[in-house]
Amino acid sequence: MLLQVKDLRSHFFTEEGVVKAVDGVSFDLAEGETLGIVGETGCGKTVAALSIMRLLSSPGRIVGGEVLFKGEDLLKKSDDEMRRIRGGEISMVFQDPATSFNPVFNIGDQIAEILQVQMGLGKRKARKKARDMLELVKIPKAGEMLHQYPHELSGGMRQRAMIAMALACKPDLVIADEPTTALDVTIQAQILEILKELIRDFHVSVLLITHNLGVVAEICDRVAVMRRGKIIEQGDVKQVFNKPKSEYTRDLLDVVRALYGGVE
Amino acid sequence: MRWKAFKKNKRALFGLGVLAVMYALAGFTFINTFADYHWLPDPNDVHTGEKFYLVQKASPLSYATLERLMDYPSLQEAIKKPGRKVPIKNRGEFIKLVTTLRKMGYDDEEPLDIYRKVYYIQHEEIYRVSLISVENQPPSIKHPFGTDDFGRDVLSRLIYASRISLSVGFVAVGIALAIGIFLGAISGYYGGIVDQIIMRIVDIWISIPGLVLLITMVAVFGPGLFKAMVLIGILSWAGTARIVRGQFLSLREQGFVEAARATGARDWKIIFKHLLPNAMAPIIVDATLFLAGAILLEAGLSFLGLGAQPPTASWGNMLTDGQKYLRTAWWIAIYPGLAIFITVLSFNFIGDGLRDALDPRLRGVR
Repeated sequence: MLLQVKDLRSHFFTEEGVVKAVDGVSFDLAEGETLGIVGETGCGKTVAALSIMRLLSSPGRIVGGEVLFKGEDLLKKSDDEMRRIRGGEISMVFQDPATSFNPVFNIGDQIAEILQVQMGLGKRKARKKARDMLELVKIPKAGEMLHQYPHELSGGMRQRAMIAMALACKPDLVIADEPTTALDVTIQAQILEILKELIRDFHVSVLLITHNLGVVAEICDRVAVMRRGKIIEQGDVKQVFNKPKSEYTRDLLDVVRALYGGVE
Repeated sequence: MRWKAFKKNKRALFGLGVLAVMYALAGFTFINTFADYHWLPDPNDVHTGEKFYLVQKASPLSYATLERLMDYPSLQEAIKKPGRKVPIKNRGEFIKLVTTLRKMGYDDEEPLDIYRKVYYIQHEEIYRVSLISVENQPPSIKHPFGTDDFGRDVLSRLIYASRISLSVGFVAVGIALAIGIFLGAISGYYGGIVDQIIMRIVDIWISIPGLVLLITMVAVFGPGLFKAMVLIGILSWAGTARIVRGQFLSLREQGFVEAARATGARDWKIIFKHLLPNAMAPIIVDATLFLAGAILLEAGLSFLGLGAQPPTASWGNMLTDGQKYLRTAWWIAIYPGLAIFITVLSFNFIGDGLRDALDPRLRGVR
């Protein structure tokens, strides 16, 4: 097992009381496997992802559980060790590619910087690698894009660059937090296609967080359904979608079927 | 693309042009100092005027002395009307008078210096007659902006003084920015108790009247140009800190900060490499406007005698020199005053222009 999350609990301590955003979540992720976490808005799926990266900021705090990554508990790592893991062994793709790039640096600088920091590459090597990565995510003029600023790119292009950046350091695990939500439908399809190929080629494990069951059906091996901070059902995608055990999963699938006429 | 927006602002361009000329002139003074070629007289050279005057400063001379000076009507006139300047025709007569006074035994009590030819005439009582040969000369071809009361060329002093005024801002702004950016960034990025403490210090700092504190500090540390620059900087960081904090408060919520953290960046790297460049636009605008304020403050300090020390010329102490002659020799005070006015105005124009050019919300409004 690459990643084992055991009874993870993350709470928010607000003035109005404690919000149990993640309340006893457990799941496993094998190497090369893609796990989808689905659930409605506010069910705690993003908080769970941030907790794994230990990026939860105040007033949120991890109050219990274990996050075993390659057999070691991430929650017990020092800040320095954690920094080396972030971006290096575990990387993230965020929901909104428009705000996830720093607007004052060009794409090349931003991808190259991670390579310099995490892999210790020289400046020229890092830029060349950045270009290679952009070509991998099927950007037509990768060399040109290195010099472009985030605002000069379309949403789809930005998300491709984001994926290139996430995979640049050859991570073992990619956490993709709603990678297609901010994009329109045609672009979504393209991005999913690229993701699918990369997962296969890089043999990388992916934790895909989404509320889109269609996306899960498209690329995930397994799925976990989350509600109110708890995982209420998990299993094989086909099995969960065809024979949902819980009432909630059934309702979710019914909604999608009613709207789109079914999930293959 | 921002330069295009800036270029549309005519006032900002005007300010930029004016300052470019000023800095060029200030730069050329170094050629003047270090090369043999002098395009400008030295600011402390004394230029003797063509007119010579007599002034009787104390009470009248005795009748006996007066009688012996019968041949010198101008001297007599001067003695009869104390305090009034009586012109002498030329340098020849001036020298004749000096020799006559010497023959009469009226020795120079003080050395006959070239700044003011002063003769003390002593009897039982103390009488004094001054012969003035240098004085406020009105603008002429030789001295386009005239001379001051020591016969120093106002134009030359003005240009030499610009070196101080145009550089004082940068030292002060540099110090203020260094402190302000550091504290503001920490305050805005970390928030919480750190923010509370730093912002309360800022509140206290801003509530202290600047000039009064400045005068007190100068009184403690002693007057001097460099000290004044540093003190102005130390005094003015609070505004910058507030602006930077405000920027950081909104910037730290941006997605790219979280993205940077997800790639394992340290806090200081996020603050100074990722966030600071994003906050640069308002900081640059603030710095430009503050440059004008710093120049004004330095001029004020020098005016009060707490900044640049004579005989070093600065626009502030030139104003002080000129204020006593405001009625009779306007050119001494007017030109440095104008220089301060135009410089501050130019910096403000540039600051406004930069703000308009860098602020996307205002783009295309005008």
